[in-house]
Amino acid sequence: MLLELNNVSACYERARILHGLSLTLGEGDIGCLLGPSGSGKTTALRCIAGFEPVTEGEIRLAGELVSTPTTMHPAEVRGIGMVFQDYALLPHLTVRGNVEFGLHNARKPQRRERAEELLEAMGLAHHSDHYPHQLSGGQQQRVAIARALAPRPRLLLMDEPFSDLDIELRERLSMEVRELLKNDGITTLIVTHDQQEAFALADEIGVLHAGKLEQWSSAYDLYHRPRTRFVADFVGQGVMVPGEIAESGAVRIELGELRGETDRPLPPGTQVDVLLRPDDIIHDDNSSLTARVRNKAFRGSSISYTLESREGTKLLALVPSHHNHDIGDDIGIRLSSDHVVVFEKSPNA
Amino acid sequence: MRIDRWQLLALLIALPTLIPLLVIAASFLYPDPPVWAHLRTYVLPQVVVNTLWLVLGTATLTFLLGTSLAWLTSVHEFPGRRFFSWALMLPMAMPGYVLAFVFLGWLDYAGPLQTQLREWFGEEAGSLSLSPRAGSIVVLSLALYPYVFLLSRGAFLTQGRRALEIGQSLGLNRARGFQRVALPLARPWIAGGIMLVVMETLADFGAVSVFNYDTFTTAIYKTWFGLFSVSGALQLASVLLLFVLAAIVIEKRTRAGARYVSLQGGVQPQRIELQGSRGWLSAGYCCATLALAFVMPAVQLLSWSLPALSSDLDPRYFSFVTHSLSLGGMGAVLTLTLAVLLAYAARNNSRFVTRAAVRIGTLGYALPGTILAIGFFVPVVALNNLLQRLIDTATTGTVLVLQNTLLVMMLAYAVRFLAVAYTPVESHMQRMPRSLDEVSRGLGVSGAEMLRTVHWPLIRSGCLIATILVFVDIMKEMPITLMTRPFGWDTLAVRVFELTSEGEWRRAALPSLAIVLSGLLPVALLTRFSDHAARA
Repeated sequence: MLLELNNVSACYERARILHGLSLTLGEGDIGCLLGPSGSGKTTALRCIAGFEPVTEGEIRLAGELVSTPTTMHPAEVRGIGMVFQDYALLPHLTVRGNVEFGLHNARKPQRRERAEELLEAMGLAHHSDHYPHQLSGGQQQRVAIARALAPRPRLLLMDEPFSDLDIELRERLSMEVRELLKNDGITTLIVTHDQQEAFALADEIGVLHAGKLEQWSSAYDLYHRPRTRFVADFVGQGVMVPGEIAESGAVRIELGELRGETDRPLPPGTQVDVLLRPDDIIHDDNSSLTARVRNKAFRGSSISYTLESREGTKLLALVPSHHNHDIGDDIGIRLSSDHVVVFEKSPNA
Repeated sequence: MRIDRWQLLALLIALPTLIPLLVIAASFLYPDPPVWAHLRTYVLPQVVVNTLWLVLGTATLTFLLGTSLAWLTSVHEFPGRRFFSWALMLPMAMPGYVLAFVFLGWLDYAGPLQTQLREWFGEEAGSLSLSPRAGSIVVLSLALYPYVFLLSRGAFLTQGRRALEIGQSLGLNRARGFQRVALPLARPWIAGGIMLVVMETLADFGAVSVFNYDTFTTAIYKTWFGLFSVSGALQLASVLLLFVLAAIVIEKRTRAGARYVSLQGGVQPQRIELQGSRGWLSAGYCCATLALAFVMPAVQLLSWSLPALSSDLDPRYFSFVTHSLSLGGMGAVLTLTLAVLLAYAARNNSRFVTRAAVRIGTLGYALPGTILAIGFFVPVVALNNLLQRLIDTATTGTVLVLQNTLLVMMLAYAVRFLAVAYTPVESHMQRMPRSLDEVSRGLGVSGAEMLRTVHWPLIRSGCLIATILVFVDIMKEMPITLMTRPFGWDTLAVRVFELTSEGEWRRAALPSLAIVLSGLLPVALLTRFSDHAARA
């Protein structure tokens, strides 16, 4: 394992920001910590970089212990590259100067060669003599990545790398960056609050909430097999509807019975909340089951409907946009899900 | 070209700044050959060398002091760090000339240092003294380093720790990160602070005259009031103006560089703990600077003042105080009025003419008091003579002496301190966009009522700050007051000058104390605002 966090906790001004965070990242993997602001994801990144001390646990880099509560290797000897959220380019240096900045131990020809190679790969060859303020946001971001990669770091950390860019550029750039990182086999850990960014870049994603890691898995599993209510709620859209486990093991809700794989078999009769994603509700004009359109949002190729069942349960459905219904209409729906996600009703709820 | 009334107003306010500049530039173009020959041979060489030494020495020393103290207090944690963060600005309250005579008093033959040395090492040990050059540089640096401290601290607070992290993520340790990332990033602000120091140094009259160190300002004074050669003084002022203009150009350039730097830390990073001896060494360094630049001189002033209380706290002393206060008050009100009008002109008309007028009008902070004094004196005398001829003394018996009224003085004050008042007024005015006027008119509030109920509450505190700053600056001001005061208008600063030029350090303490006390006001304001800025 290249990066290992074992039970890491960290505090800031006596407030505990991280609670027993454990995760591992293999050579060449791209990991991502996803969480709302204040979840401790940036602190985790800063602990790994060596900017903040840990109060419990340990951090290992390629097996070597770099942070414990009593010892802390200085950031500059860890060989970790960092891409800062605001890029943090040095305004007094040119693009080339910024990329060469971290190569201070190399000779000048080697420095120049490495910088040119990276600028070429980043499509910035024509801008090497420009100053950062002469570049667009996307170009600045590329320079920041090139600068971090120049000294061939063992691990690359990226803090909200694309949050300042507009959506279109964000998608294009994240694909390019993923390709580059994968081609060069650069182990990377990204921190973001944007799930689209996490999905586009990472092999494995960890959802952080209030300093705790809720789940560490692939994007598919986060969406379809969330392990906690927080993950179910934070990742993707959906609603929770009440239900009960039937004798057959299926889950009975107001709209019918859901059959499918479930990760947590519960005894029959248990009162549960069931997660229904918009893609679990299929619009079907022939279905006898109907729900009333309460709201709709046109999304181009699809329409996102907010529906209300006869008993008043709110549902979400994503429907191809030629099925255009008016608010107040009753439309036919049916249930379809491969994975049934249920959470036991908490006793006090 | 159509000139609207706001442009006209802005031009009118900028005009007084242009007058002394033009008068002095004209004297440069039309020199008076015999006077110029004398100055060039006997005065200029020494004065130029001295001024250059003073500027370079003070700039270097304030850079070292200001940035090191700012770096320590903004990024690190050590015993007393919170206290030093604001206390290190206290020396701003101590005018250079006060610090200068306190230092001279200490190093005097009869002073405590020499006495002690003689006691330890015998009679011949008493040769310790500061050369006028070293003395002027040290004193001005101790008095002026807060400019560099304040500005670089602002830069380090927002990006200092961040700069280290950028360096560390690229394999630089902290020492090299400071040198290669933090310093270059803060360069526009550090340079801005140093340029303010350079301008104050070029303008300084009091401190160098205490040390008897001849620079342009003292040479202008001596030529004017010693040789009674106004044209000679004008010639010297024209050369000084070249230095000042160079400083202005450099300053504007460094400011332009600040636009591109906008690194901000997302998280407020933890400070670097300096533990053990390193922490105490840092505290000791801050403590020594503060003691030397403020605490010890202040205590010395007090201890010199106390015995003089019974003899010197007489009606004359109160007349000095009243003069200082009333000049400060009048000057502050006049300057504030001009600043508010100029700010309104800039707000209501953003055309080139108005912007140029604002830039010229606020140039005065760079112009030494000596330049303004002579630059206004000469044209007012000319105006006086012109009017005199029109009035015809022989028939009316009226004798005009405009140059002996408060007119020259107030004009010079207003020009010198317009920028000081303009900055807070304008920054408050930025909080009321013109759309606000439209909104209030839409709600049926306009004219004087709008000024009273909408504008005034928004710019009130800016006006208050401006008034305080200008008031205190005039209290401390020496050359303009000294050279242009009407007969009988002696102020505290003038009294200090007279006493120190007679070598009476002890008696100068009492009038100085009042000046230092008033100087604490703007420091209190500044620390409050820089704290706000740091928290935001």
